[in-house]
Amino acid sequence: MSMQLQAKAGDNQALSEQAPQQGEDSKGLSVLVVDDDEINRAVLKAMLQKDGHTVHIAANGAEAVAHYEAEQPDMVLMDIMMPVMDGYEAAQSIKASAGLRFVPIIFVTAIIDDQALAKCLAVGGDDFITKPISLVILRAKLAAADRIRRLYGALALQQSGLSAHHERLRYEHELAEQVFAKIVGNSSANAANIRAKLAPLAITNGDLILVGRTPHGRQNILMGDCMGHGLSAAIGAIPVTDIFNAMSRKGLVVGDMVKEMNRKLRATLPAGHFFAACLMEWDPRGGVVHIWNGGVPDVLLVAEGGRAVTRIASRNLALGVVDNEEMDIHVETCRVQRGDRLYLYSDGLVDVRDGAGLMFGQERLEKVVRDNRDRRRLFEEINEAVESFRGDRAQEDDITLVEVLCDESLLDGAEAHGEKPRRQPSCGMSIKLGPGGLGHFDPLNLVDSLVGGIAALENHRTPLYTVIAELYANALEHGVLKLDCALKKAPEGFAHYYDERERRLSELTEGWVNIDIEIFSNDAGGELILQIEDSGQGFAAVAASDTAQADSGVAASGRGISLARSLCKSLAHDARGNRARAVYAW
Amino acid sequence: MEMITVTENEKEGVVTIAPRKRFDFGAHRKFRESYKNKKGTVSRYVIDMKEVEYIDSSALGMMLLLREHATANKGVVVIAYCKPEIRKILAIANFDRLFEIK
Repeated sequence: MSMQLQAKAGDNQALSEQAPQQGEDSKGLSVLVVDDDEINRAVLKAMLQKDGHTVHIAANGAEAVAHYEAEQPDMVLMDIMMPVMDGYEAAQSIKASAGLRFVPIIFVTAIIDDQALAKCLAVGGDDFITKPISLVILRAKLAAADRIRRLYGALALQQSGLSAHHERLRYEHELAEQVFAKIVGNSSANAANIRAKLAPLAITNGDLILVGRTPHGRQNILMGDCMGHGLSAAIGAIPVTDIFNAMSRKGLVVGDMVKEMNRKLRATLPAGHFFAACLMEWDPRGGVVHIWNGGVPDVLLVAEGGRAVTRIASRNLALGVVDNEEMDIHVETCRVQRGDRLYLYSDGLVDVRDGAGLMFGQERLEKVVRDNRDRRRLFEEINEAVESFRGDRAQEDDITLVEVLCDESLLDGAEAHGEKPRRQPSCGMSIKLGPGGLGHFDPLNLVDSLVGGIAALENHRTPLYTVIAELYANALEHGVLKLDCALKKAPEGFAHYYDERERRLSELTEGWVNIDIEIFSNDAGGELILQIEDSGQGFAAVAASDTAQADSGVAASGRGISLARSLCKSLAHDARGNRARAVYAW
Repeated sequence: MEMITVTENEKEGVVTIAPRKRFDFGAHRKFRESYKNKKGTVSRYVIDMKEVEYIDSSALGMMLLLREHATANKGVVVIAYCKPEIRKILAIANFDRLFEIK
């Protein structure tokens, strides 16, 4: 196509007048002019250069594509009808190679039928200008195209900035998850008596479930909502988890744990962040649970037999809301029996909505419990009820449900757990008695000093005395002094036995008894571990005959060990029989 | 201080034996004297436990020996006024089956 470009006189006039203002927006562009007519190219080039633009020239579509690749111009003015490759094809090719870069292509054409003009836009052109070219229009269209180009460039810059930012956030989130997993992972809900609906490591939802064991065979459970996701959830979860684990190991009580967690969260959490949680301690031996509920829905205690449901409502502020001085701590204590179940759950469970926007609610939850006929199925039934209530509606909030089954047999051996070396006694003492001390040692003095140290033992003086006196008497009389307990059976023998005891004691030149006491205690109770060892050859045979005689209920002697055993949680002798280990619990 | 106090009501044939706070082998001599070599007939021995706070198996043994003696002489032994902790220890030792405990 060749057609003379006609510059009108009026246009020139206008050009010279308006150039300064118009040029503000679109000065110094790099423009690719594509036309197979040399004169057209020259005229356009002159006009553009006069406005301060840099001009590249192409004589057909193929050249245009090559020039575009090489020069990366800001804009293209494109003729349509050209040899080798026409303008439509060249435009498509340039747009394709530009990718995300925005290059305005303005078609310059003498064709004015609607179909042809529509095609200009359809192939990717951004505008068209008809020949003969009005310089005012050309300049205005150039400026408009340049505005869009700049806007596009700015958006693209922001976009890439945003995606870099997003990348970094994702990386940090993954980092937080790793930290969270490391810290929380070790204390996750892996106890056999606990079922939890959410994977405890699902940091993305911010819910936290922790389970720990105390030295006394108690189980601590924490269910909490960390508030926030990713890093902000980890900020709260990390100190809570650390404190939970450390204090569980030490066997500290719920109230103290709550105080410590609150203190730490006040110190670390940003203002306005808090941690709704429920902390629970189950004492299988005492048959009680201690529950501190700070801002989570009512905990349900479901009895194994009967329909009884006890609710333990939140009577506390969530953690991290106020300082310890302003915080009242209400810990509820409930009696539990083997087979009872406790349900802890997040807001998300009762807030689940159905298709009509109705909430599942506490009422429906408790109805599921009332309708339940097999407690073993209750956990599933609650989940099923929530799911079927929700129907097709998308889950809006995170749902956490924890079931704690009060069945001590599911816990890994409480006794074995208690004997792990990391267990630290609250206090202890060790007494070594040689020949000189054996006659003077008085079990009552030992009881007095124990009670002096541990006030809770005041009511245990009598049985404690009996246990210590019996084990000591056994060690001394049979182990060190080698007295035969058969002596005591006859009326005269009884006196003879104790005379003989005095005589041998006064003549004693060797032999010893060691007494070791360790006490593990907290506010709820404790254990005293008494170990008595003597220098004798062992009295295993004597101990065995003790039991047999005591069972007959009439023997005048040898009932000491079985009496002590009855008063203790456990009493055992080592194989040799010269070392006794008694555990007295309160 | 005496480890044990013994009072006798000869007319009614009742001997009351009251150990102190601590009832153990240290009392055995005096305890035994309370019933050995009695001239009159004793139909009833009362072990008054109201002061006793600490007890061991030698005390249980002494009470069993007293019971043997009393039974042989057609008498009874009553263990009286026990503190709850002491009562519990006696129960563990199955003394309910052998003695009247009140």
